[in-house]
Amino acid sequence: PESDTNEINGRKKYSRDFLLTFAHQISGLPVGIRMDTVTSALFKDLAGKSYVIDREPH
Amino acid sequence: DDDSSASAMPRGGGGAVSHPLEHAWTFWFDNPQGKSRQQAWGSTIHPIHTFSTVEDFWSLYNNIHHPSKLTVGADLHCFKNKIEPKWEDPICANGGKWTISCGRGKSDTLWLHTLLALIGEQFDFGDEICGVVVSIRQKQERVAIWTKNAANEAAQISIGKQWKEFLEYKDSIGFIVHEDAKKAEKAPKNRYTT
Repeated sequence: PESDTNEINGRKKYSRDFLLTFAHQISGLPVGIRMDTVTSALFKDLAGKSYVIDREPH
Repeated sequence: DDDSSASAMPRGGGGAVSHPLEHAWTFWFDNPQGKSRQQAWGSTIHPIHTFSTVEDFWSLYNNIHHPSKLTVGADLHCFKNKIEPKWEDPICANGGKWTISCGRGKSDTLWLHTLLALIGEQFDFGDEICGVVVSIRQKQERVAIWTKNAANEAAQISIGKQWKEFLEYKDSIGFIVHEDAKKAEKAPKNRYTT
């Protein structure tokens, strides 16, 4: 679905529909996240989560 | 053709092809639980994570609570990297904000669709935007887009109109200048409406 993006005028544009196609592909926490007692209140169920981005099988 | 253009893209940590965003963005969280909001402001705001790819955005978004699940008093910000979500930030100082208010538990879709419009660079005057904040309060939830230069009327009106289009929001919304908000005792007047 690369046709949903373009770099006209040098800008990386992505439509909502294109961005939403990634929504269910990624579940791992981002690398390098800062976590403390305040910010941990923001996160869902931390138990069992890896701090590494999930790898897509190839 | 698709394959060759995809292989030229940078690769993320997991080895998968990643989609770079125009800007890097930082999530900030403010959760002044139990403290007076007046005293606490600014001291409880924490940067959470900076992302610059579509994939990294979702890895953060999918792991954090949606606004409706946050406690009353919480603010969640997504601002361009290096811009602090404060009036005092030099890039925000002359700006203002468009605000959409909704009932408790109703901001989740407004928030997500606003984030996607921002990181996907859907606004014609995207360069004028600092970021977006969702605020959870006792009686309502508010989503606000902060902009850089309140005096640029054409840019503000365009941003407000496009925002409503993206969200399919029909009611009128107002733009408040940060300077006016600082001076006003109670409710500052809208500089613009659309």
